[in-house]
Amino acid sequence: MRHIGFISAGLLVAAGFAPFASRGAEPPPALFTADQPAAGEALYLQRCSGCHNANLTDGGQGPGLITDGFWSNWEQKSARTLYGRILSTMPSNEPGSLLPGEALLLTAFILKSNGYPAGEQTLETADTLNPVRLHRQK
Amino acid sequence: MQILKRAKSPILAVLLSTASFFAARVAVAAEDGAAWTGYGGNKGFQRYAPLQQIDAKNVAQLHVAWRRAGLDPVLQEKFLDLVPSNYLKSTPTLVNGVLYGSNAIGLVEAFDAVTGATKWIQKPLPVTLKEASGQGMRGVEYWRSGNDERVISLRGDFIYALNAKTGEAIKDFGDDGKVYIGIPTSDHFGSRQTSAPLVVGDIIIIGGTGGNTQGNGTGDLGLNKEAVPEDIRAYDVRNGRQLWTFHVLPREGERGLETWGKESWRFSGDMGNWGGMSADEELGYVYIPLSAPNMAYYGGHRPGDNLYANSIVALDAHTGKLVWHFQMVHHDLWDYDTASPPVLADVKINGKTVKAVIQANKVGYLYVFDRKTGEPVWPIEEKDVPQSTVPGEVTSRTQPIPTKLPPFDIQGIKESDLMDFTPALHEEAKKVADQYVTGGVFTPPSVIDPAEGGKKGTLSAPGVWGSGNWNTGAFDPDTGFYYAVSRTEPTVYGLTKLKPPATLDYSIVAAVNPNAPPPTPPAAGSTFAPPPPMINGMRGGLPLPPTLPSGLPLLKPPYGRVTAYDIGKGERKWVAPNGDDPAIRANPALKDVKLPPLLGNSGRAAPLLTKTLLFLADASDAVIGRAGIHADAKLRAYDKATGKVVAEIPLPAGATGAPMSYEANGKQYIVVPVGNAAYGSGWVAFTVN
Repeated sequence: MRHIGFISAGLLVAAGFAPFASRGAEPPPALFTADQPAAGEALYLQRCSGCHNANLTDGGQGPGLITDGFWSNWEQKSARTLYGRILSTMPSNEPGSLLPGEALLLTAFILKSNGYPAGEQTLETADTLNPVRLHRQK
Repeated sequence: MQILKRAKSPILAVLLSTASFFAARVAVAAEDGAAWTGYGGNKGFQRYAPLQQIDAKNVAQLHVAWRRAGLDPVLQEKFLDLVPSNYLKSTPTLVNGVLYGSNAIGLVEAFDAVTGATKWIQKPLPVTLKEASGQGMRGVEYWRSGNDERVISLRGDFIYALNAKTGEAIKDFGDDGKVYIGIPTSDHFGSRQTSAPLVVGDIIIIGGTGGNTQGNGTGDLGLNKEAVPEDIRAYDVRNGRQLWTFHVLPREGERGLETWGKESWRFSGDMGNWGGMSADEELGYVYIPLSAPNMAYYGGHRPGDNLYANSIVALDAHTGKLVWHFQMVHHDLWDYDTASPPVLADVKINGKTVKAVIQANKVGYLYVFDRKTGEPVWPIEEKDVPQSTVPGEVTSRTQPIPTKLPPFDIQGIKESDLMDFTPALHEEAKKVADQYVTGGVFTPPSVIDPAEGGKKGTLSAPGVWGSGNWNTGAFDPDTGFYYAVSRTEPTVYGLTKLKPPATLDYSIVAAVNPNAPPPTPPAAGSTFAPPPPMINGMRGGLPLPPTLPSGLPLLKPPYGRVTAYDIGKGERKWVAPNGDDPAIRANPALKDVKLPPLLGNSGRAAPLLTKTLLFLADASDAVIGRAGIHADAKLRAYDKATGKVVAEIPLPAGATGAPMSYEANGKQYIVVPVGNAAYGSGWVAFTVN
């Protein structure tokens, strides 16, 4: 179960996502379906963009989420940890108010915004994120 | 030029009575170096510890006495997804050899001052991930009556009262030890607390913000003019009963209503206190700095001065009645919050002791008042300022300008403020700056002209993040020196006309992906709410400061600084860069360029004073509010008289809160809250042999 994401990524590379593989790095896993980051963005714009900016570039009251600063903090960290950070500390004025499913969608949106591809497999449980080490894609 | 407030210069206040309660407190503090009785050191928020064991001769030998994680591992082991922020804000409070701090998720931890070992940890009740989820606060308060010792803390929508000996909830305080303090808002967001509460006598006083800051809501970042006033409230420390409310925005029949034209008092809000408070327990007054009104950058819908936005208010702690106030910025258009803690200072001026309160703000001025009467110690003159050209805006004709103490950071943008490491870089900087309207302090925002060569709005400093902020200010009662810590960064105040459904006419929020397709609505059957409508391709969020093409800052250093004032003499004594900025130094455009030894770092560093030294730590990039050090942070000791760096002590991570100092078992310690992505977060204690 935990490796499904990587298998999906392999399929996606074969299906034309070669840019991710062409750099010689491990291809990024496809962890979610296309509709998940879209739903995540909808939620993000409601609950997160006031501080992080709608384009994830640092809204002044929250750090950028696609920026050099983001990757200097999250490179090689566990994707599960990113999910946990969102779930247990965000939004900063109401931590604990997000449902686990909402935190998953937000994780999918942030990963998609950082070049992680969508695939066939729905991100249904945070456990899927356990083996994934975050790596900058662009 | 109109002079509204001309006090005798200087005011000759009565000699401080040695019998006065406050003076007695100061004297006690001076003898009892063991105490650091609140977030700001004492009720006067001086950030001063009367200790001298660590001095210029031995400070370089400071070594780590103990470290403590920002969250005790027990909870993290229980909940895999409890991943606390590295922004550990809390400056511990020390009483009787025990440190009390707000941990990385906002629960109180009590630990031994000598070893850092746990005494107790506040339990999340119920013990669930949802309840454990949270963010740390800047401090907690301690209260005692006989054997009844309590720790008072804020977390989310509640005030908590805990038994200081055991950490157990005080059952007869509110609802089983907690009191709900949420402010109802249209978007149902919780109240956001960052600072500590203040306990004066038996009264808990709180500020905080009322939510409504997300998405297209209000606050500093939204597109709507409606907001909720973030009133100041007081509670009985014994039972949690609410005692009074001070309306930061006057209600019908209250003084100041006339400063809100077009009946804007009906829908305006914000103006919260989030930068700390102080109190004179002898007078029974509490001093509260208040922030900007909503919306800060355009006020066509709120003509008038807009009291009590951007003001310091002195309230009677027992009744909540306004004693005096002073508004630093009329009809704010820049988000120039009065955000720094008011610092109480008994200062000798012309041989007489003046009981003063020193207030810094984002504008970069120090405003000094007689704290009993509110009279300025030196004249503060209403001076004409540039007027807005934005349709519908009615700028205040004047703004209050302190005449005696010069500002502690740059104001406005002049050519001489621009990057000048090389002539070529200076030319680049001029080209960038030429794209904007520039001028002196209080140059108002302007509408972005989309025409080719049109101005892209107003570029001004200080920007929305301020020069001064919660971290600014420490006072040395021995020397009468005040130290202002500030950062130097401009903001583009470029306004765009909004259309409905935005209720605000203009905003400076960043234009975001105007060509991006709108987000897909949630799938059928989803429980998620649809996103708020896009407005001109924009949503909440602030524009980042412009840079040179190489990413270098537009302005020349220092990017962070500390400025020393001799308050008694009314003089600025020295300015020193606060640390360095390795990221700027490493920019390829500066290869082969000779740089100053210290560029100053624009992170938010908070000062600590002792009898011997001034300490400032590099602020971590985990601190929200722009910039900070990513790695290789240092704690620096400065000569208080000259600003010379005496020693640099490596920190495991940048500081995430204000440092503090105390004496325990005959040894002086300095504790710094630190955190970053590599280290996590924690408190680190230093001492000398």
